[in-house]
Amino acid sequence: MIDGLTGALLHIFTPMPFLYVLIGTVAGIVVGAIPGLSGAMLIALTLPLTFYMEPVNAIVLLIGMYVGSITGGLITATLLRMPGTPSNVVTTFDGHPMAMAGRPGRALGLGIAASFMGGLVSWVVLLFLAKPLSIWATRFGPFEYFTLILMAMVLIASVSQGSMVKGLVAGFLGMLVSMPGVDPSAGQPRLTWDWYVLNGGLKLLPVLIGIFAVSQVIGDIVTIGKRMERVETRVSGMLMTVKDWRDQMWNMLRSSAIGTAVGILPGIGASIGSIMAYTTARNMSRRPEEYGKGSEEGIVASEAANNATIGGALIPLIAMGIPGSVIDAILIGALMIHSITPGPTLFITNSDVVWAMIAAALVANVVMYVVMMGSVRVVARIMYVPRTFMLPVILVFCVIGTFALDNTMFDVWVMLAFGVLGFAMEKGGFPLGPFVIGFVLAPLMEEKLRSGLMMTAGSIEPIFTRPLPLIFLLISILLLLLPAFRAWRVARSARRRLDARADGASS
Amino acid sequence: MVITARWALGVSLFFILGCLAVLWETRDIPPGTFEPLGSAPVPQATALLIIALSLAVAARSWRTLTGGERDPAPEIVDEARPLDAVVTGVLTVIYVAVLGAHVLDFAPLTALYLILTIGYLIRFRVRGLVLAALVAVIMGWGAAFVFTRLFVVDLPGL
Amino acid sequence: MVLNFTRSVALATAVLAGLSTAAHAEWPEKPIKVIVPFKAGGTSDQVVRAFQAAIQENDLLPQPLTVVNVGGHFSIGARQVMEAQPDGYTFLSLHIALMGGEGGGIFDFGYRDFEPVATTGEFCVLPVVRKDSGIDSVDELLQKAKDEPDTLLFGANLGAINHMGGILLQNLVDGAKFRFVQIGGGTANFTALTGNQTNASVLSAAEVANFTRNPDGTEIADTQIKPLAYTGAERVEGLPDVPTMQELGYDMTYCVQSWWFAPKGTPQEAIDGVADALQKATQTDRVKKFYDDKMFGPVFLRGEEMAASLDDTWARIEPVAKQAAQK
Repeated sequence: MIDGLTGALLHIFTPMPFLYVLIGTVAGIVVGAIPGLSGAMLIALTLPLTFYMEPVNAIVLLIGMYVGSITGGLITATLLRMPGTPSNVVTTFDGHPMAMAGRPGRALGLGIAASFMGGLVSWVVLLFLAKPLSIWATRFGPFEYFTLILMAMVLIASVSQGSMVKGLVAGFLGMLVSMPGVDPSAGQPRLTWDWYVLNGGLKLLPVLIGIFAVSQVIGDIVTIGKRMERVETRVSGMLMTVKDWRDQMWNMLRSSAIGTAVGILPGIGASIGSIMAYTTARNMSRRPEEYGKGSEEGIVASEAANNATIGGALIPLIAMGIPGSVIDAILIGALMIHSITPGPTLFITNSDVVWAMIAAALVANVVMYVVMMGSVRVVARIMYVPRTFMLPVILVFCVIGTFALDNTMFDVWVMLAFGVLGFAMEKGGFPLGPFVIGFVLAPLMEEKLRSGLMMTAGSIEPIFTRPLPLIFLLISILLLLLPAFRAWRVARSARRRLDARADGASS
Repeated sequence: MVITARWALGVSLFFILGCLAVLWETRDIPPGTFEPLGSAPVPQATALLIIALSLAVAARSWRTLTGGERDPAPEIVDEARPLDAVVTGVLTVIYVAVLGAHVLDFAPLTALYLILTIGYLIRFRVRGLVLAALVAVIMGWGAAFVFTRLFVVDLPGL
Repeated sequence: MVLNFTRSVALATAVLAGLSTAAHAEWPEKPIKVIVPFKAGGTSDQVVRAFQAAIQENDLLPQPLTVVNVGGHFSIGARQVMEAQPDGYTFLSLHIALMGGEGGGIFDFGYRDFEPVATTGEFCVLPVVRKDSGIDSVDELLQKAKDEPDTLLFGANLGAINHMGGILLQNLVDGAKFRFVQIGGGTANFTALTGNQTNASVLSAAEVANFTRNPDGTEIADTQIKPLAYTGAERVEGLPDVPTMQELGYDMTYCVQSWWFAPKGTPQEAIDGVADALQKATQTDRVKKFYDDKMFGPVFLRGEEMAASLDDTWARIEPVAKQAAQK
């Protein structure tokens, strides 16, 4: 193992492979940071280019892009409240308030350090536990998935800010919007109004770009006339101090572990990892009231987890040939073009490629950290680019990015429509976070439930008889009750204080 | 508060209409054969939940608008410029429609769109326009170059 | 004035008409688009890209072939090509899913709405079960499906290729019935079988070889699955010990061919031009290597031959597609 790894590392540090890691990571960061463009699009578009490259160069380039794009998305999530990729949605909850409070450097610094840490933790797991973990992951049946996703869904209630009812409406609406198209559980179209373009449904990226980026652009244009209160910006506090590391270490490790575990499970990706880590951090925090208003812990949890899913998702890919995420499926395509088929024998047939992938995941993570830290000062100035120029340019990026993803103009119209919807929802006080979570999770949840029912001929008994589903179900119930319990305790202590004061007054 | 309530009322009514359309569309989805649920119940249940919750939101917003729960502070005069958003929106819709109609090439069309939109937002100040033209040209031809030459994809347009 | 206008319109039309015939005369004068109605990276995409590279490397066409991936449901990309200008610059690459969708009533168009261009290569599938299932042959599998109908869990992507494969299998014996479970494509089914969640599925030859064989052809020690038979006409080179269905006495072949189509009305010279280039490309090392890697059969059809083969496949697949769609 040591031989393979050091060999691959030495190889990566020869000029060409290193150049590819560097190009990939930087391109990933840039594309991830531009609202409207996404890592998945970049990697899909780069795939044909890798055709004429050495296999190792091709794979390190793509892995660099993967790592870079997930991290780059945090820049605009923090500074403009436009998440660059779906996995950065949760980062906007705390990153943007903190940046608006005049500490964009601090917010970015925390996010970058957490990303680095998340990448590192999952990389170590990838290195040592790839085989046993991916075999464990194959035992995850439909009911395990269903209850796991149910658990994540319950979190919708706890991440919504403001009115609970409006949060629920937004969450259910996200679920509903994900349902048109050919229903995978029956192979039949539904909710298409006999219109063939809806057979493919409303896709994640157009909806996401619309509801976050475009709606934010509309909102910014409306307020363009307002004099921006020029917040005092300090880019200081970027590098985390020893105390910061000590305070955040446990949170980082836990969030990275959650991200890695979610990454290993095939088919569910970085966004779920960051949601779960964020909510766990909030539920275990001593200062849960700060979440959503610029909590440092919140940024750390979200970013550590979404980067950890990268290493996690590579685990089943390398050990079994099973893609752990959408981007991994494209990576498999890139390998196939070079006559390399990921599968259980990949270590035997193409160990150089496997080690290159593992080494690239590490090197790209380090490159990402250095590049991001080096450029934060410049990047933070995005906040001061005149909006009159920036917003139309962002709109053009949104149009190109949405179109290039699947080559249909319909997606562009979907994006614009959801931009307007997102703007109206924001105005009406409906939170957008739950909408996206519902949109991402509902199709999986329904498909897994119905697959499970197909297996058992209609019985949901395994949920109660198998250990993991039962645990997930219990945790979901607990999570549902926790906020209510908290509220009750707060109310009780307030009443006691009141009683005590009343007693004091009467005596 | 009043503004939010007004929007919330409109949005929740819109949701209710949308959900009614969904319920209508699910009326003749066949029941499942491989499992008891089929394709219809999940969207139906979701739509019904949204309707119920939206009614609650609408009722509450209605009370805010009509009831005595007026904010004690006078409404702050909004400096917002909704007209800007409308004009930008119309320009964007025209831009996308023309792209989809394949009558003009991507690069000049994008440049034109950017000059018009940025120009309008800066009220056609001459100094700003020069910069806008520069940005427009870079974006138009730059993006066309990156996407059609580097990545071999078809941009919309001609 | 009015007259003038009409005349100029007439003139313009004539000029345009002249231009377009001139364009046809010099086909191809611009890059040729091939729409792959799936995301980049899948098998269909790899087929087209292998041909694209072979054509480029050997200058088989004077203009480049550009691959356009249209994601979402495959009917969207197919429909785009059906409605595209039949100017000889738009083509479609698709497989049996087109017939599955039409037969199942998912959409109301089909292979007859396109001009057939060429068939390039095919892969056939293998029924697979878990090693510890106690099932050692297709006979035993179907017997069990008959003795205990609706209990063997068959992983499939409902309405898709592997689902139709499963239906063809159970149709071989009266009364045999699998219980189909929505799992997904080949890799997802391998995962489900390995995790003991399902009992059977069909996988492509390349998938079986990849998941069960070492590079030297021996079996991987800890693999959980085994193939029972091959649905091609002859044994596949990479899995020489697996019998064909026909050897076992079952009249079943189920192979998925890559079809290239053009919109109806595409000029014949464009169709022939692309078909020529594809035919030459099948003789290149790049495509040969690709066929070997993916264990594709090197079938190549065009013109009347292809049209007849499509009709034949439709006759076999339509009823199965109906069954798959539960109608």
